[in-house]
Amino acid sequence: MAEATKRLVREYETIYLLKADTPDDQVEEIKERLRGVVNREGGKVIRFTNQGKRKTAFPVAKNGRALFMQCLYVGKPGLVAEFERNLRMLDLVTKFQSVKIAEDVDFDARQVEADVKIQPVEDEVKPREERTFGERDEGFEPETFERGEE
Amino acid sequence: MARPDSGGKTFGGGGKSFGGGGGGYGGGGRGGDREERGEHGDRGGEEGGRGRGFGRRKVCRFCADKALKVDYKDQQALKYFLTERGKIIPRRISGNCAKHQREIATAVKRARMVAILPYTAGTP
Repeated sequence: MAEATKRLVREYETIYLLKADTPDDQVEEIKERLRGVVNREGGKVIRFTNQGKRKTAFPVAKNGRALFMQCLYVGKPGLVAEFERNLRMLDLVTKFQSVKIAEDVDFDARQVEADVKIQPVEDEVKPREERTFGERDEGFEPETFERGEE
Repeated sequence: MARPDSGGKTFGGGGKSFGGGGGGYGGGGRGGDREERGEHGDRGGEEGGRGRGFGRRKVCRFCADKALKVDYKDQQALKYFLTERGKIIPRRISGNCAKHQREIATAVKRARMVAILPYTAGTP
């Protein structure tokens, strides 16, 4: 019944991590390959976001850095499984995670956007010793301490 | 959940250790935790009852600012809800409402899975 009016699909987001030393052309290649997968399964890629090489919170594939890629797409539920299966086959992909963003998205209304590449935000993680507690207090003081009146 | 007779002092101590002591709230001592919860519970800034003023009521920052969304990709924003060790800060401390605390917890767990946030960080 939905077909009569509009095609309702779901919007998903998959984040995948590539090895930090992946050359740019490989990144593009993987991108195109995934785009092909989505199109083949009757979905549509909204956009790829290259979040750049970033420090990971813990070593991934024995490496402290990774290239974060984010892919936004719409499609049927089965698409995710196929998408992830393809990710699993790629050796350069070290980690991935898919999340459902929205349900009942109008397939035709959702516009395709251009791929973006954002510069990695170099998180200023100082060594633990140097990180003062005062820093944290700033954020918390107003909420945490007002009760400690006694 | 209800242990109304104790705890005011413990909370004060716990709160201090959260800010000043080593290791964030976790360092505040297990013993204290229970009573804090019993005393202050979910009712946040419930006034008086036992003649103790609580000061300003904590408000959920996500409820206060509707434009603010919980996003598991936003490392900086989520860090606010983590201790130094990478534990999720409980609702009674962060002041979040139940709904948003739930969203935060989910977001943190998602972020952990893609190595944006640590499962555990550092050693004391």
